[in-house]
Amino acid sequence: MNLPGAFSSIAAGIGTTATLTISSFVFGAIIAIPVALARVSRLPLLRLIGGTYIQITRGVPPIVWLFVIYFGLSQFKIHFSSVNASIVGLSVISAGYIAEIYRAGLNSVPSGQQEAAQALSLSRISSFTNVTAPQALVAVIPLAIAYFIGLLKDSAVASVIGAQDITAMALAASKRSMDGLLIFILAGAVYLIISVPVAAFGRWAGAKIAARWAVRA
Amino acid sequence: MTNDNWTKLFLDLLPGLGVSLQLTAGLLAIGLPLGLLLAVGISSKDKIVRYPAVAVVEVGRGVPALVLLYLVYFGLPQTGITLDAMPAAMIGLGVSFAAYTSEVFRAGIQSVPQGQTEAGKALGMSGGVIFGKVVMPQALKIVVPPLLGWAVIYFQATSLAFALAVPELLSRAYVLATTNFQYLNMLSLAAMLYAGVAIPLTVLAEHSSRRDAKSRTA
Amino acid sequence: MDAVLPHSASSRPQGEAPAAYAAEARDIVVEFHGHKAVNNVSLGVAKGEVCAIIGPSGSGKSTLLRTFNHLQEPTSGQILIDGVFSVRSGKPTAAELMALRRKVGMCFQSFNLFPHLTAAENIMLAQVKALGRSKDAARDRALQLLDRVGLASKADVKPSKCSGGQQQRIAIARALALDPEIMLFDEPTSALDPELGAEVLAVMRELARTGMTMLVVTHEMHFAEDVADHLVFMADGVIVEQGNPSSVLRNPQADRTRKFLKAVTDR
Ligand SMILES: Nc1ncnc2c1ncn2[C@@H]1O[C@H](COP(=O)(O)OP(=O)(O)OP(=O)(O)O)[C@@H](O)[C@H]1O
Ligand SMILES: [Mg+2]
Repeated sequence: MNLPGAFSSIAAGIGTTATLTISSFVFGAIIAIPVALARVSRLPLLRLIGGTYIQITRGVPPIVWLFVIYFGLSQFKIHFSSVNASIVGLSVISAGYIAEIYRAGLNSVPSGQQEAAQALSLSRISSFTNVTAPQALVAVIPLAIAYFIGLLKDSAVASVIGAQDITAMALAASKRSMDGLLIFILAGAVYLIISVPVAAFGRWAGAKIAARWAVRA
Repeated sequence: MTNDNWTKLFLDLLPGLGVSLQLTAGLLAIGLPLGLLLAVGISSKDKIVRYPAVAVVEVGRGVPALVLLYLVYFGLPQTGITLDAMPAAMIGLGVSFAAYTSEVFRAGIQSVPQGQTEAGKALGMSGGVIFGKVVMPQALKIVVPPLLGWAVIYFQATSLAFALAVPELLSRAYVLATTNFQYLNMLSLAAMLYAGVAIPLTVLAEHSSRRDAKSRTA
Repeated sequence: MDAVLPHSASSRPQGEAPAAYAAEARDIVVEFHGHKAVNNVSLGVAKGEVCAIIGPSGSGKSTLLRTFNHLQEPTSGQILIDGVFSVRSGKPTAAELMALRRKVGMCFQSFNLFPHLTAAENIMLAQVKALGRSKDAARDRALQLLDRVGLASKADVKPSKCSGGQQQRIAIARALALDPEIMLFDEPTSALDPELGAEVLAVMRELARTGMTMLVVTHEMHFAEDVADHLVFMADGVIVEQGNPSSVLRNPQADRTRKFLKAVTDR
C-alpha cells in the first residue's frame, strides 16, 4: 500500500477521534466541577462521595468502562451508538481525572491567600472566585492540556467497540492491505502530530496565564 | 440474582484475571529494565545514545498503547518477526510502560545529590560501581512508589490485549457474556475485579509516596 | 501582679476617662490536639493604644493574635470589640465573622498579597466585595492609601515586582482600606531585611501616631520600646509579664523574661 493511500484511509478517522476527545474533555471538565467541590468539601460525607467517584472512575480501565456502557447496558435495552457510548464512558472517566486536576490547582494556592481573604472579610464565594480560582487556574491549565493529550490517546479504545476513529480505520486498512507496519506507524504518527500543536497551545496558554496573573515570586 | 450465581460468575472469571496478571508480570519484566535503560540513555551526554532514547520515549508516550499493540502484532510480521498475541501484548505494553517510567527513573537518579557521585569518585570507585552501589540504592527508594503507581496503571492496560484476542479478564468476561447473555453482570464483575486490584494498590502507592516526600523534606 | 488579668489603663494619659477596651480577649484558651497553645489568656487594648507582644517561638503569640479576628477559633473564651462580644457563643455565623473582620484589620508575616492582582486591585477587592463600594471610589481610596504608605507609583504593578518591604506596605494599605478600628500585625517585618523592615516600621509608626489601635506581635525590641504603649511577654501559652515597654525591657521581673531578653540581646 502506498503512503498517500494509507494516509487517506487513516485520515478518515480523524474527525471521529476529535469528536470523541473534545466532547469527552468538555463534558468531563463540567462534571468534574461538582466532583472536585465534593472532594474538597468540609462535609465528610461529600468528601467520601467525591473520593469514591474518583477512585472508581480511575480504578476501572477505560476499555472496560466502554464495554459496561456499550454491551452491559444493552442488557437493560439501553442502546448507545458506539461513538455515544464512548463519549459517555470517556466523559465519566475524564471527570474523575479532571476533578483531581482541579483539586491540585486549589491545593497549589498557598493557605495564606485564603486567610488574607478571610481577614479582609471577603465572603466564601468572593474569596473563591476572586482569590483562589484565578490562581488555581495557573496550575490547572498545563495539567489539563497534558490530560487532554492523554485522553486523545485513550480515545483509541473506542475503536474496540466499533467507533470509526483513527485506530479503527488503521486496523481496517491493515487488514485490507496486509501492510500493518506502514499503516500503524502512520497511525501513531498522526496521533503524535495532533498532540504537538495541542501541547504547544498548552505551553502558550500556560505562559500567558502565568504572566497575566504573575505567580508568587 | 443469587449469591451462588455471583460466586459462579466470579470463579468463571478467575482464569482471565490470571492471564491479566501474567501479562502484567511479562510487561514489567520487559518494561522495568527498558525504562531504566532509557533513563540512562536520555541523560547521556552522547548524542548517539541520547537521540534514539528520546525518540523511543516520545513515541512510546505519544502513541496510544493500543496502536503500539497493533503495530507489534500486525506490523512486525512484515519484518519477519511473527509473535503470538500474548508476547506481542507484553512487548507493546512493556515499551509503553518503559517510555513513561523512564522519566521516573531519571528523576530518581537525579534526586541523588551530585556530592554522592563525587564522594564515590574521591574514593576511587569506578563509574559502574558508583552507579550500582551508591546512586541506584538511593534512587530506588524514591522511584518505588511511583513505579508501583505505573504498574497498577499497566495492570489495567492489559485489558487492551482484548483487541489481540488474548484471553485476559475482559475477554473472558465478554466471551462468557455472549453465551449467558448476562452482559452487565459479567462486565461489571470484571470491572470490580480490576478496581479491586487497582484501588488498594493505588492508595498504597500514593500513601507511600506521600510518606516518602515527608521523610525527605524532614 | 496577676499575670492573666487584663492590664490596667495606667499607660494611658492621665485625666482621660477609662473607656472600654477597643479590643479585649477574655480567658482565651486555644487547644491543638490536647496541647494548650494559648492557656487562659486575657488581654485588653485601649483605644488608640499600641500593644506589642513578644516572646519565644511557639509561645502562642500568633495564635492569640489570630483569635482577635477569629482566624483562629478559640477553644474557649471571648473576644470583645468596643466592649461588645464579637460573636455570640457557639459557632460564629459567616455574617458575624465578616462584620468582625471589617472592624479588625490584619497584616501577616508573609504579606499574603494576592499575586494575580496589582497593588491597587489588592486594595480595591475587599472594598468592592465586602463594603460594596463602587470601583471608582475604591480605586480613589486605594491610590490615597498607596500615597500614604509612599507607594503611589506602584498602583498598577503586580506584587511580584515589588520588594518585600513594599509588599508589606501594600498589605497595610489593603487592610486600612476597610477603615478598621483595630489593626493586628503578626511579625510584619520578620521576613524582611533590616533596611526593608525599617520602611514598614516607619509606616506603622505613622499609623500609631494617627491614633490607630494596634496589636503587634514583633521581634523588633526597638519598635516595641519606642512605639508601643504597652508590652506583653508571652511564654508557653501564657502572659508571663506585661507593663510599660521600657520597664519590662530594662527591668524585667520574671526569670523567664530575663532569659528571653538576654537571648535576644546576646545575638
Ligand atoms: N494550626 C495549628 N495546628 C496545630 N498546632 C498549632 C497550630 N498553630 C500553632 N500550633 C502550635 O501552637 C503553638 C504556638 O504557636 P504560635 O504560632 O502561636 O507561636 P508563636 O509564638 O507565634 O511562634 P513564632 O514566633 O515562631 O511565630 C506551637 O507549639 C505551634 O506548633
Ligand atoms: Mg508566630
